[in-house]
Amino acid sequence: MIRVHQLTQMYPSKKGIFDVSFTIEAGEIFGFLGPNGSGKTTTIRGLLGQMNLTEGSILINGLDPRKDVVEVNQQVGYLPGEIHFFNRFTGKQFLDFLSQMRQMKDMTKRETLLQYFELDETVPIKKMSKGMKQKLALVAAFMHDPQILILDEPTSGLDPLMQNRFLSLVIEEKARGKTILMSSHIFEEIEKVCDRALLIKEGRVMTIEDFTKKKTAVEELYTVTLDKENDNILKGSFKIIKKTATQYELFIKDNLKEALGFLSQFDVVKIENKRQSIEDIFMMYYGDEKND
Amino acid sequence: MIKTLFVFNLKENKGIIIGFTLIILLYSTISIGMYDPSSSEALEAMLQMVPEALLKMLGFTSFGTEITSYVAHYLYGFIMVLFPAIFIIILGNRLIGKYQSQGSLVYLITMPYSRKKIVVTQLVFLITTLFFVLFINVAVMMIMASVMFPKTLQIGPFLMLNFVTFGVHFMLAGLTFFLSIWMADSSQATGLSSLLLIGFFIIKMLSEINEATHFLKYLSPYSLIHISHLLAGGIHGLLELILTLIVGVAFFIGSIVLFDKKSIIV
Repeated sequence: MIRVHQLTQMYPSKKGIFDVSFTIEAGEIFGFLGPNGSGKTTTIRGLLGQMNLTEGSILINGLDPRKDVVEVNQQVGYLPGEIHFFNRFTGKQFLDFLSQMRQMKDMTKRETLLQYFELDETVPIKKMSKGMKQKLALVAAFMHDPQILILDEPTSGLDPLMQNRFLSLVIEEKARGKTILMSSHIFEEIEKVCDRALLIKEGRVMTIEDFTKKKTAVEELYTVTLDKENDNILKGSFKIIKKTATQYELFIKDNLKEALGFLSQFDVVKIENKRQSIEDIFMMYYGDEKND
Repeated sequence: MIKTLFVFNLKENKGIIIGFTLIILLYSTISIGMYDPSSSEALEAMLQMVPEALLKMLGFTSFGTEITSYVAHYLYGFIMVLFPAIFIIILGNRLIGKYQSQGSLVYLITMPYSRKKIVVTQLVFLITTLFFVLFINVAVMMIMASVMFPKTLQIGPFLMLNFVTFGVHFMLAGLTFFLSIWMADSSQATGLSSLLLIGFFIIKMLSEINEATHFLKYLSPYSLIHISHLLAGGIHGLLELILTLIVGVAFFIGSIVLFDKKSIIV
């Protein structure tokens, strides 16, 4: 279990995170959602005991990550957001080094993960692509079978196939009772696997969304293109958030049938369900005034 | 101490450790190989053709006819000062500083070890390799001298000279290591420690030109490696050794505390 209480961490630039509180229960996948620079990584640095806290407290399975660093690091697997390895090594040498540092005896999980992500560990790290490095970092985070996983933007650099494989792995680990925190700026992947997610912006918690309860209430974003501009569409029972010439972006909640009925009176050229950007999500929750 | 990390350091840094050992070894073996008790007057005569100020700067003042003094003047004014200094600048900034500014330090501090254990391992590694680089040379020189010129090398004074040389390097290794932890940017830390160590070396050379520049010796720790004083024996060598070790240890304790307490943003 991870408990963060009124955490404030300020950088000399006065940026940082302010009064962040949340609890992640054992066996839960918890998402950490926010635009770049919103404070996700800063919070994670606090969780790992890398930074001195300005205020507040953090407990990981009842332990202080700064004082009880040995015990905490035994239980945690971490994937950094910015990955920097020791470049002289091959992937194998790097994993061997970490295995020895952790005094790991059982290498089955490591081998399974390498096969699962189709990673050739004999390649020198210097010659690895971004995706290969990400896979190597994933293997390093999961290989000692830790009880808690802290993953900072775990899917970045992975192709869609590997992204899905990673998401399946996370669900599998959850079924085995692992506690998982994963940050992302992509709403869909968080929504897909997380039980709950914290939305953070400019260092402050906006909301903690419970996906297990409110699945149906989530609004979907659509782009509707008409053959010519017709502002009668604005009279529909949905929220239109953007209009560019003949294109209208609108949110439809749980009244899709009614909305399609209304739209049928217009000359619709195209209608598509749009992948929601983090800004769209924030707009959905807070409207324009928060999206400055 | 973390054994795995120590071995990892050896793999990461074997190039510079072997390289510096060989460079110094090259000079030290040549110096003994060139020694010829009967022709030392010829050497003195040859040196008279070189400008005196230059000789003084390099520590080649009076070689003497005796092997200990000859080797000491040949090596301990320049070679055994400058090369270890460069070794310290490189290695002292690598063991934590480089990983800190590269970001790979995160893979050390998220392992199940206290930060103290990590930084102590790196310090032990720095000092062990520094000792190794210097004293493998001392051992080779002593063996060569005892084979080629049996019973001529004055072991006691020669060892004291080496211990004080080590002490001064130990102290400056502490300073370099401390700076590399203190400054988040390893290229800045390397710049600053180079400026200081090379600066001290130049100040020491300048202080030996003539009486007017003599006062500069108080500004450079390298002046503690005063060859003729150390070879003459007496208590001051031991006092210098103790002083340098105390200052060095203070820097090490400072480094450990600082690394343990600081926020590491990588």
